[in-house]
Amino acid sequence: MHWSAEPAGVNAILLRFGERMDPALSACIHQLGQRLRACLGDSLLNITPAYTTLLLEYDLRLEDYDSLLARLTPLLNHQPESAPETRSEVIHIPVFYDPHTTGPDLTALAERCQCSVEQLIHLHSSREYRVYALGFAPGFAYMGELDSRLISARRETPRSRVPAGSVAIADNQTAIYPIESPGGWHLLGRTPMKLFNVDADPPALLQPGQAVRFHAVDRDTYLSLGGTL
Amino acid sequence: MNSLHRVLEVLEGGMLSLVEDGGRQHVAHLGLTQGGVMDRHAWAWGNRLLGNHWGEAAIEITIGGFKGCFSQATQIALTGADLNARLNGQPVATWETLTIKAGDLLETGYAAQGLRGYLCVRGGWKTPVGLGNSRSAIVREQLGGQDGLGSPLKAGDQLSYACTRDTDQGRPCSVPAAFRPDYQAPLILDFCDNPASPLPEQLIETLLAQRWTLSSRSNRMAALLDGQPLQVERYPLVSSGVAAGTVQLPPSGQPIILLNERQSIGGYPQPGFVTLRSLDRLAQGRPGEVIQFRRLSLAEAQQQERAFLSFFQRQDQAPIRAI
Repeated sequence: MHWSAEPAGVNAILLRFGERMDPALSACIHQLGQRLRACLGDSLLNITPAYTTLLLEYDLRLEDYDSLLARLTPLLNHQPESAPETRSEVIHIPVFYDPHTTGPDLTALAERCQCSVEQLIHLHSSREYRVYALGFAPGFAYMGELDSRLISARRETPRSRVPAGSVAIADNQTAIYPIESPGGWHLLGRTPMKLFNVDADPPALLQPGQAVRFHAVDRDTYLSLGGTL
Repeated sequence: MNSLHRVLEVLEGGMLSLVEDGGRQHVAHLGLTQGGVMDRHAWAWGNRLLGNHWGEAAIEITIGGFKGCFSQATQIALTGADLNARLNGQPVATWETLTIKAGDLLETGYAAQGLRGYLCVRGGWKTPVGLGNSRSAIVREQLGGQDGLGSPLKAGDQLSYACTRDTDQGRPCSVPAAFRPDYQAPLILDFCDNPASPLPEQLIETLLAQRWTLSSRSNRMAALLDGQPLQVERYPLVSSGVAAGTVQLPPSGQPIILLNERQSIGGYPQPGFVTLRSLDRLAQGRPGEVIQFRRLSLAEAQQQERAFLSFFQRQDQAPIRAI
């Protein structure tokens, strides 16, 4: 994996591995992050994997930029030839897609995509997604890629309150809001699943590289699984 | 030996009072923010005065309006912005230890200069430790703090403090004048270049030469700067992890400086970053205040930060001037 490094903060180094979003690259970067954590131990305070990058925040009492880069270079130049098998269990997410309650953007979006609400739900729930990165909020997983017919820019005006569990799309990605928060993505439905649980290990249900599928469920199933309206 | 229940009962939470420490570690990959005290300088001095270990939690009081009652004797220190505090009605000094008796009432007024005051207690505030080995309250994430839900302090909250013997008061101490910042001095932020930035050099020169003002829309996530907008092209950037101090230039051309509660990843072009020591000072900046940048090399910035950390994290803390 080709790489480059740059200073991204007084105690931060950003490693770049490419320019294009690619689920396989995200999975490799996630695994590399775990490897670096094991190799560099106490020197690292935080590792943030994203689509094409790894941000390392380090303890300046133990390392400076040059010393850390010197330690990273052999580790990055001698990566395992092929990425370890990333085949993980697919996580199935039940979603109640409903234009009247959980999916307030379904109707407008279907119009824009020139399809019916049913087709739109089918397009969203009929493919497997991969988690690229976590960010924005605890356990918020950016997943891709959407069917090209569903690609649409974010809402002009973000909502100040998006309910927890909301399943949403924007650009060529989909995500689930783990907690109630502001948000500018288009809301299609809601899942009763808990995406972030402080007491679980790890607390985030989804990890980069994880395979995910959405399944449409009816109102009764949604409610019986603990969903709220 | 009776078991003493040592709590500070909050009578008024004020504008925004939060339990904060050094922030979380090893959780950014879960999408969690860092959090922690905005002004480490004032916080670290507060703990140092009381002989506390580095990293003990403090109450960060923004603007003021905080009121609380101590159930048992202890020692406290107020550092950072002078909130015009009174102890049982009598004005008290900042940047020095204060002796507390059982039943003492502490009430702050409002900051005339600076923005955030720190209330440290001997032994530290013993609120629950949450994710990332931190006690910090993160309102946006509904995590951490005294209730584990990130809530700001409010009337009725009870904060435990460490159990020390009544005789174990600690000697009175005060921060030397040279280490007490002047919050009326011009706010100048040390800026380090990111040599890999896609932004043209001319644009960065303009950013550094211009005077900016701190927007009132700033919060614990980011400091927003207002001024003559920079002409920023749109860059098709893929989001990446962002560190504290990162300067971002969104299409509006108004710079954003990312702070402790930033989102863990971001996608605007970055000319470089501001030092963590400058963020400590920026934490005391008030809306409308003028901000300017000056260049510093990465090596100097790292040296400066390391000097700060080693001063406060030395095992054998050098004695400080007794009052």
